[in-house]
Amino acid sequence: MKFFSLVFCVLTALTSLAEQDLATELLKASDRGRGGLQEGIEWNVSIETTENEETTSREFFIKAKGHDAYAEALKPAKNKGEVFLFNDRQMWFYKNSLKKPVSIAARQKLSGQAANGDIASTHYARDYSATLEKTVDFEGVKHHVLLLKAKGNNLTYDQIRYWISDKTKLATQAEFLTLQGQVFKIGRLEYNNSLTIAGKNIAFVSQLTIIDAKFSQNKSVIKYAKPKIADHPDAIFNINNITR
Amino acid sequence: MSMQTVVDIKNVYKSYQLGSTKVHALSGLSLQIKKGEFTALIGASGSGKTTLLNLVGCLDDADRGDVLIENVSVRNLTEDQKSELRNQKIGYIFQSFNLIPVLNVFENVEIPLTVRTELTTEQRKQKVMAALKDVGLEDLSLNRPDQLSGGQRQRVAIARALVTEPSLILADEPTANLDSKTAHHIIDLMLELNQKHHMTFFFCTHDEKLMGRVQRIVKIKDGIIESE
Amino acid sequence: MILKLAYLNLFRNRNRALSTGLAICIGFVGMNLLGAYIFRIKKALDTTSVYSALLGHVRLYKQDSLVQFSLKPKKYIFQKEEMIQIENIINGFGSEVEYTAKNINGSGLLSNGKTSHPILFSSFDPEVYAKSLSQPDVTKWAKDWILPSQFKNIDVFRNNNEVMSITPKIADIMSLTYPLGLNESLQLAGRTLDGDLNAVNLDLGAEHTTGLEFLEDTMVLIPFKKAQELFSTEGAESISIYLNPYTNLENFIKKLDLQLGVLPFKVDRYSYYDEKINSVYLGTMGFLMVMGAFFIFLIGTAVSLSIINSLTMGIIERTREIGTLYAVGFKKKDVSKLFIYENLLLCLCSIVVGVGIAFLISSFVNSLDIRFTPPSVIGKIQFKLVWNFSIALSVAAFTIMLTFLSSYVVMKNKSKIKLIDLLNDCGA
Repeated sequence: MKFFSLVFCVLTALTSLAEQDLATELLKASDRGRGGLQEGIEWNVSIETTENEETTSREFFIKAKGHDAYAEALKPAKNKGEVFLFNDRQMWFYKNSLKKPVSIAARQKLSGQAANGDIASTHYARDYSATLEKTVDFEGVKHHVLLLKAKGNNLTYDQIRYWISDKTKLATQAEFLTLQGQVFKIGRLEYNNSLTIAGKNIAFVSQLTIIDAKFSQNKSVIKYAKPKIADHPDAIFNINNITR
Repeated sequence: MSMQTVVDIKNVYKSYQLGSTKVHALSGLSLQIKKGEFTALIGASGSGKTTLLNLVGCLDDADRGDVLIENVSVRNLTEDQKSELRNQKIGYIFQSFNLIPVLNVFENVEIPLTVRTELTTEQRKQKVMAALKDVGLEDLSLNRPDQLSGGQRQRVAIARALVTEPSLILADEPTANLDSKTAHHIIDLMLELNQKHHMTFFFCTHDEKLMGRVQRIVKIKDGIIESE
Repeated sequence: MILKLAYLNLFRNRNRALSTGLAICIGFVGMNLLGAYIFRIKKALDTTSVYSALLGHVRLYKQDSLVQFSLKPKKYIFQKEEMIQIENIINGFGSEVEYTAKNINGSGLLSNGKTSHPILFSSFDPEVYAKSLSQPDVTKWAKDWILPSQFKNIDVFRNNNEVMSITPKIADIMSLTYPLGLNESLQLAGRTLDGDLNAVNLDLGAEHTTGLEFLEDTMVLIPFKKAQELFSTEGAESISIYLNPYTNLENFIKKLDLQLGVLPFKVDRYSYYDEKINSVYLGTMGFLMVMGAFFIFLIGTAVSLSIINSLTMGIIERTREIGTLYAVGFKKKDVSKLFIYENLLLCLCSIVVGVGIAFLISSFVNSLDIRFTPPSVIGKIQFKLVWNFSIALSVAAFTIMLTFLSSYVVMKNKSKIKLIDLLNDCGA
């Protein structure tokens, strides 16, 4: 009896570990589709927000490399030249009129339903601990549903329920949760862009639609366009260089 | 000449509850007192003399029957109306004088006039001094009661009763707390006032020595008139 | 005569009259001093609310703005044309209004280039600030609630229109050194009316205290122009009206409401003591009033019972005398008057003595300069009793009324006794 209990425990632990590894691997793979690469890349972002029956739009140019990202506002004209800098988990806001940059949070609202951290590359595998909740059929495709819990409190979201396609290893849906586990935003992802890295084509996110869970008429559509590999010097991600 | 009736007591009854016993103080008593009479009401203790005097003075109410003071029935008067009647028509002399200790002689005599708002201060002063003169105390007007003898205090009480020029003066054992000589003087004074001002006096007394000096004696026994 | 008799009766039983008078006097003094304390606190709160907190006597917001501005600032801000219309109305009041100010309140992040600290900000106009802190009432009533350095801020703000004011606690949180002016500028990040992130530079050099513990690590003051720059607007969230000290606030409000009613847009008008914009004021005054009412009730009851007891004893002793008065023609109201006058005279004497004692005690206590920290307040304030003739008059009126009522109640009861029973009474 004791022998069978021991075998059972060992098997359960091994299964758990295996699931943990799978979750982490899935997450790493999905990050690649959202800019989480060691290589330098750049892309354009447009955000169209519909809120309280009003529509606004903003455009950014993003440069990313590893865990850093540099976002410069292009449109509208009143915001042109504003810079959002991501240094690992630290985030800054800067504009020419300021003497010093302002430390801000990734979770703060950027526009409509989009938070600051939504326009940059994602590094969920590093920032969240993942648990495989279940495997489901989602839109006719097998998906692994992961529950991501933030490892720190300076991340964009506290918890995310993440649908990752078993086939493409890319995330197609996200439920953004509060600390208490309530869904407050829902995100849908599309990958119609591609990047060539070391001769290999990899899919890249083309659109992230974020909808208010309570008021579905309020949404933001983030479109990612013209992604390409680019060699960015480290200096552009140094906050001290931006303020000079 | 028929004299005006000042007091007309008509078949009055009055009872008191003394513990569990009901005492019938007056049992169907009728009496008339004419103007200018000097009448003594005598009787043993508990005969009803004080009760009768109280009813005449509107200090108490009869259970049955009526008392008319100058043809005014007191039966249906309110307390304030009775106070007014007492002030206008009745002067009361108490056995224990009932002077107000914090007021001087002048002020004690003036007291009944203070409710007569139609009088000026000067008019009040004149009346008070006249009353004090009548009782021979005009020189002691600033003295307080505790500075006076018993007889002087009773004179003050008499002056107080006189000052309103009432139709009737009632006195309940006015000499009971005085020595015989002083009592004698007080009765002399009352007689003098009766004759001088033709004032009606109705008083009760135990003192047999006074019987020979009064005009009319009404004897009361067990709540009814025994003789008059 | 009744008054004279009442006066003379006071000396009948001197001990009893003295003890009753003492009870009335002590009660009067107690209520006076309580009133003096509450008066002082009220004046301090009035002054700090209007001038130190820069609320003004009256504040105007767009309808529902108080709740909605933080959610939809673009919709609930006063536009330039609207502000002009309001200013025209205010100008019509002439000298009743001393000055006005435009305000924007908001929240944001205060950054020193290394870390950010979440704050709430309130805007100020340097000239309005100068006029407000120069008010005589501020020095008279609210000195304890203001840092001495705040008076120096007047010149600092006039010389540099980019200087903000922070609290010592915020300075500590952000590791700033003194004098503050030697620190590099800070940046304040917030949202524009469109909801976009924006930031402005602000110089250091001024400090203030909110007076309240829960706001001391949060509240900063920034120049109004900077608030407009942060919000990217030419408008204002609210308009404060500062009245001439002699203007009657309630009358002004009535007239203002009439005039605001004809504007094409709806305006909410709040007085500085309104719960919606000054809950601390209402909470504090509410507590003080309840406490005051409770103590006045206790004191009043004690005084009333003293009078009732004394009067009842007096009547018992003078029952026959009362009967005599009725017998000689006094009516019930005359006898009632006599006893009521007696107590009222005693009361008046006690009040006169009490006024002197209250004045002496308050002068003495104030000279001791006792300091204490009220709940949720930063720093210590002086325990001060501001003896005031109006308060003394009000308390006197209350005491007289109490005396009258107590006496009246006793006399009403005693007047039911039959005259014959009064005369037959042997006294106490």
